[in-house]
Amino acid sequence: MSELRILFAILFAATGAVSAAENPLTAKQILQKMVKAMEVSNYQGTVVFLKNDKLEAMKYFHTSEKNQEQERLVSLNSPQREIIRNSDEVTCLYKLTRQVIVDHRPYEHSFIVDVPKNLDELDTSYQFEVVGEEDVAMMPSYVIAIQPKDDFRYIRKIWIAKAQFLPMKAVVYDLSGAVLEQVVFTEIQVNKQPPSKIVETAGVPTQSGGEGVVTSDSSGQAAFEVMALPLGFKQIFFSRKPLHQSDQPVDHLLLSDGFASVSVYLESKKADTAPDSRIPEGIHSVGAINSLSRSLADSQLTVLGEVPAATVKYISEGVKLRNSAP
Amino acid sequence: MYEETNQNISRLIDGELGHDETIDLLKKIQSDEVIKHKMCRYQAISQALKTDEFYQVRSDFSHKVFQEIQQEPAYFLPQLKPQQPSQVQDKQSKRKLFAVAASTLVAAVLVGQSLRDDSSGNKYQTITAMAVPGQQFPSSSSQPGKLKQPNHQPLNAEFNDYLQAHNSSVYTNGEVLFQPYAKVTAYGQK
Repeated sequence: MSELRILFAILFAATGAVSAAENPLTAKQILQKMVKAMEVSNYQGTVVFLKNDKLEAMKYFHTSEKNQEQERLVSLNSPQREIIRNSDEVTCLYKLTRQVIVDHRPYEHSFIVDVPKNLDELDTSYQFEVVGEEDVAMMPSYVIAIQPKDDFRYIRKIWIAKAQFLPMKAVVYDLSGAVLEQVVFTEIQVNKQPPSKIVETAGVPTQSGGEGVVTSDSSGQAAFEVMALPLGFKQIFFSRKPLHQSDQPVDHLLLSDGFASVSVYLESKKADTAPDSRIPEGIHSVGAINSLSRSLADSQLTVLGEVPAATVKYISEGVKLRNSAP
Repeated sequence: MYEETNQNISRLIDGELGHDETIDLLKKIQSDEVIKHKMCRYQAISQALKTDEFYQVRSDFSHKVFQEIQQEPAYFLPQLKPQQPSQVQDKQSKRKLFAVAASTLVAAVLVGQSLRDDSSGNKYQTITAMAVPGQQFPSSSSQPGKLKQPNHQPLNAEFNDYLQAHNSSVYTNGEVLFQPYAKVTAYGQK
């Protein structure tokens, strides 16, 4: 009887293996597993950022403990700094100048790669495909291509470790296929226990810069409205607060299609601004970021994001001032 | 004065005009409509004398190339050497002029090649072209074998502020020029 059970068990296991081989994971399933793994895993490693022709190597720590998640980056090169993400707050500590910067980022989730939880919402803008398997930092990984369905966004690829479903590498390409920026782990360790204690940043003394700040999920209070957006882009976040070294508020609307984000800024033109510090009108480019600045009545409009120049131009052309004054 | 200009136009079409004289003439053509039309007429006559074919280069050819160059994005990347604004303007205007000169010469070469290669087809054709985005036209002063560097401009303060407000990538970029807008303080190092 027991022999029969063993036989059934072997048959069941073999059927499962054949079934798994016949129905490999889809690109979306792999990405969803990655999103989950990024939330719950404790891991650390060395990560390299290549952006704007600059290479930055950093130590990376991800800690998940009692439903509390923390990301920590420690720079290996100057300027020495430590960047900590606790939930929606990002803190950057500069060791040399002893400067601490605290930013509120409710719409970002990772320094490595930000992938939305609901991938089905992106079907109008992107298609997902497993395009191969490669080793990254000696870890066998799936290669997932995220191909845009129009020319309003960049092409992306993500390498995801087959064993732990953690992102090992992410690359952004322009529409011709040239690499714009990438982030890659050179070594990674996954731990059962948190690699380090969650670092408390709440006790760090900070000056309050929040006076007169307006934040909202909708742009109803903005001095402008965006009449036309490329397919898939949505309004994520609106704020009105001083951005420069003055009290003048700047309206900031963040748009996103899930992967690419675009910011729309509107502020009154300042007569006393030094010419060197103003953004000249027209299209500008820095790495994957394109921006377009132009006058809108007595204000300066700037549309900026990691999207092709045509996208910032399209969004900029759709921005109109509201009738009422800000 | 006009006689000399006429001769120079003729020499330019024949490919006999020197570099400096070409630049002077192209400057004049750019600013003087009469000379521009005269150049077109001379080209037409030259072609008619050499062959039965007639190819007309659109009069706004150079202007279109110039417009495309104007629409090219400027790149905010670290500058190697700080330059005076007047020097930058002078350099930019020279580059634009060289670009226009280069495109005009490219057009002339295209016309010449078409005349040689195409013995059949339409009697009258219009040649037009668009500048390829991102294409760099070599300046006459550049050394052979050396690529011209893109026009890098330093990041300015406003742009930095906007980048920082946009996302957290400024922290991983190692950019130290930006000014924090959120909350800033100094902490005591133990």
